[in-house]
Amino acid sequence: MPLVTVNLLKGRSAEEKDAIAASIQAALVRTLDVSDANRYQLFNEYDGENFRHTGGYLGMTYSDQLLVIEITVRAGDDDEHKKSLLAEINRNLVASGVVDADDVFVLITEIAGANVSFGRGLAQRSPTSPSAG
Amino acid sequence: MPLVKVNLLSGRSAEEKDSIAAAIQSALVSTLGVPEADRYQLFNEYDPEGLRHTSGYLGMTYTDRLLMIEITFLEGRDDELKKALLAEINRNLVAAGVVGADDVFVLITEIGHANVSFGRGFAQRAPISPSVS
Repeated sequence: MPLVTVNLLKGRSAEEKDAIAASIQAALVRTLDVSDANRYQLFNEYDGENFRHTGGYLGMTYSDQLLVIEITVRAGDDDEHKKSLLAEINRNLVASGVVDADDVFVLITEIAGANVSFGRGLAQRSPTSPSAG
Repeated sequence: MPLVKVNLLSGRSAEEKDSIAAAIQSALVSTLGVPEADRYQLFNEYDPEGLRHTSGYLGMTYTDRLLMIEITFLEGRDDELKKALLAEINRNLVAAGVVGADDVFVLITEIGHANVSFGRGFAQRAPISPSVS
């Protein structure tokens, strides 16, 4: 269910994208206890003209390697879990050698449990309807 | 922090995209008080086959110049500020001459303060955890 979108400049190799994908998934598995099979990842590759950002903000300095990562998860994780996730994504990406610590912008969007279907039209994560009696 | 995505038909010049980007950023700065350096903008260009919409709704008439703008920022702004932002984005884009007033669809998503990292894995906007006294 986490739906992960990685927005980045064109030019990364397939191996680099493999490393980025694996780094993010490992962080989700470890900090949010997502199962490894629960993996949905999109890479959006941009020309420079369409990928625009500040050169730096809040003490960060950004380069052409910047990753703008969007993650949509089910609401309910507390702030400590979200902070752990943000830290772990950064740690994994830096450890894999694909990006520097500053060049990782991450944004988490939370949705309700009934807002996702994994297939067959079922809302697999919606609260179970109360049974009668 | 605002992450801005502009979805549009392919074919705009770099100068038009510069104008669109500047018009939106300027509205964020003047209505929400966002610092100028806080700028993250992605342009998603579509073929007509990939960008589909009604030709009109709620009194609007849409053309091939339609911009579908998505903006994500921290929750906490009241409705008046959001309404001012929507109005200012439209005003700036029309004043820049890049689009007619009807052709600006805008959607705002709000996220929690612990839901964003600007780099280094920090949740820079998260509430400070209470210290143990």
